[in-house]
Amino acid sequence: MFFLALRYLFSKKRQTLLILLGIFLGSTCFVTVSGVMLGFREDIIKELVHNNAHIFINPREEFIEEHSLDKNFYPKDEYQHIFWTSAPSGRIQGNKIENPTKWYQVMQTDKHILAYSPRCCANATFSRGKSEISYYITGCHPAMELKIKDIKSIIQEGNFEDIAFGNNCLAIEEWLAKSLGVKLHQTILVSVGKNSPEPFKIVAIYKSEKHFFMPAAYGLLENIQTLKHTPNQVDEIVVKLHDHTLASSVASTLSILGKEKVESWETLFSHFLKICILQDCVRFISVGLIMLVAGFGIYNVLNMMVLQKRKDVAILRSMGYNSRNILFLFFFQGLLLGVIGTLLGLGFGYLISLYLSTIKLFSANYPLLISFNPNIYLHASLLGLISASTASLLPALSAKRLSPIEIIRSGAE
Amino acid sequence: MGIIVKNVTKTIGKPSITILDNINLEIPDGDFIALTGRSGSGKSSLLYLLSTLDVPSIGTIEIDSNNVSKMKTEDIATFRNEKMGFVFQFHYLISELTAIENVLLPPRKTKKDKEKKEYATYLLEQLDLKDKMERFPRQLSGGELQRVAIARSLIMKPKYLFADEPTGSLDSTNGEHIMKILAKLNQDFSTTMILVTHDVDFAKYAKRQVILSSGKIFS
Repeated sequence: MFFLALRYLFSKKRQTLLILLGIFLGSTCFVTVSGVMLGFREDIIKELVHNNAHIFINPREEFIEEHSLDKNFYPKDEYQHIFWTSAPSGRIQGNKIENPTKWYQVMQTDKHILAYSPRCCANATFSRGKSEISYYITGCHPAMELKIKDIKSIIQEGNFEDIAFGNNCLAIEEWLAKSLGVKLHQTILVSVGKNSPEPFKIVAIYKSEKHFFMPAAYGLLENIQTLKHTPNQVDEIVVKLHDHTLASSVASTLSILGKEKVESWETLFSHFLKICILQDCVRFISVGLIMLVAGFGIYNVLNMMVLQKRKDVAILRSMGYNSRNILFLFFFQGLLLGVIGTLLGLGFGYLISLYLSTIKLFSANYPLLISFNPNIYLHASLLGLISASTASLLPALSAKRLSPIEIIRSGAE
Repeated sequence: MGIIVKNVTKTIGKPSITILDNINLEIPDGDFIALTGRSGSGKSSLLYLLSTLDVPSIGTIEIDSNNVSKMKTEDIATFRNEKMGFVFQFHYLISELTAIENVLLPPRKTKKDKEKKEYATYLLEQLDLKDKMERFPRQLSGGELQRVAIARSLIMKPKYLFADEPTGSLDSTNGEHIMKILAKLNQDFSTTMILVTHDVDFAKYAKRQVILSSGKIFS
């Protein structure tokens, strides 16, 4: 039947080419569009998951609701129900992690936890001469922080771990260094709120161009606590897990242990993840429509062919070919077009993706991020093959059901 | 052996119309019978029943001692492929295949087309189509097309050859030529021939004639 199916296809070159083109374009579009969309997304996910903490423990956060303050005003339980003319509302935001030592003990014993890092954060003012810039500063223990974020790879000058040595040392962003006109080993003044500024020596300069959630400067935890006049206060504990997919369940377990707000990276970046799902929907729907049109083309051509080849079906059946052979004769044609069109589309889509990955968007450091994830190619193949096989199965089934007797009786030439 | 038809009735449609009524017939091996009668007499319907393309509503048809009604679909298909040849009023050649490729279609089912190629060439030579083997159906005349169809029906060296008005679409000269070929095949290879024709002159090539009228054997 292969032989005859191929002959049928070659006898209708134009139609065959048009169908091939449909499947080919669908697969190419899918691979290219997915490559661009997922390339960007994978980079962000990589940053979120692999170069960031998986769980964030922050000071407790409570919301004042209608009956939250009942006991404060009427502590004696003398009324069954309290009605407010204007119900109280608001938010209670803690400013520190209560009993961080307790958390450290939990971190050290939990087998899911790979590393943790306590932080002390502040909005600081950096100044040198007349230059003055306000931005976030984070206090940490460099050895612990390096297990959470790969800061070493973005260091331009100096050594990140040096912030732990000597008094008041800082690692700062390259743009901040440029803005202040400061170089390695020079000194700047840093202040928090109305506290008096303190001198800090620059021991490392980093460039976080493509990294998210980076402060403008890192200092030793104790130094920043002193700068804030909040000794021993920890504002945040970030946690990295062995398996980032367990973040939600570990976060919910940890949240029972204290009043602090414990959030997984999935919760914290849920809006981004929702956009990803939306992006997937758009991607599959748009390419699905192309495949639907291509599939409809296959269906039309094969359906016409079944009508035109009724006498061939009759004579083949009289020669001893069974209904399965007839089904295969027509199904194979659609499937073959689907396979060839999809393979060509995958190849061409790959080439386009390769070319796109060489395009620089803003500067040499910003290439267009293209994903070559095998799943894209797998999904494109499945879409192409499913659409082609579904579209060819229906005409093939109708051919299978043809009665040779009726065709021969009708005697149609 | 041969074909034995016992009390066969064939009805079609709703409400049912009887197109063959209580047919009894015996066709021994090597026989050459002509089924004749007017249009609508049921001769083609009987041929389709005898050739297993159709099944009787009532009664039994035994071919080589096998009750066709009790055979599996797959076995019937194999039986048709190996032991039966068909020639119809229209040639029913596949337009995308050359003459020799059309002839080799039946053995292709069992992947025996390569070993049958020599025999296909021989058959086409015998049917005066030596120079036209690689031609497509659109490049052949009506008589040539029908001869290719005969070669195709003979490629598996069938025990039974069913011919349904094989001369119906041909002029008298070509019709005569085809009938001589069929008669020679019966004579040389003892192929059992069942011919449907309404042409009295062509029916004379058969060893015996079965005349049908209104679905019954008239004589």
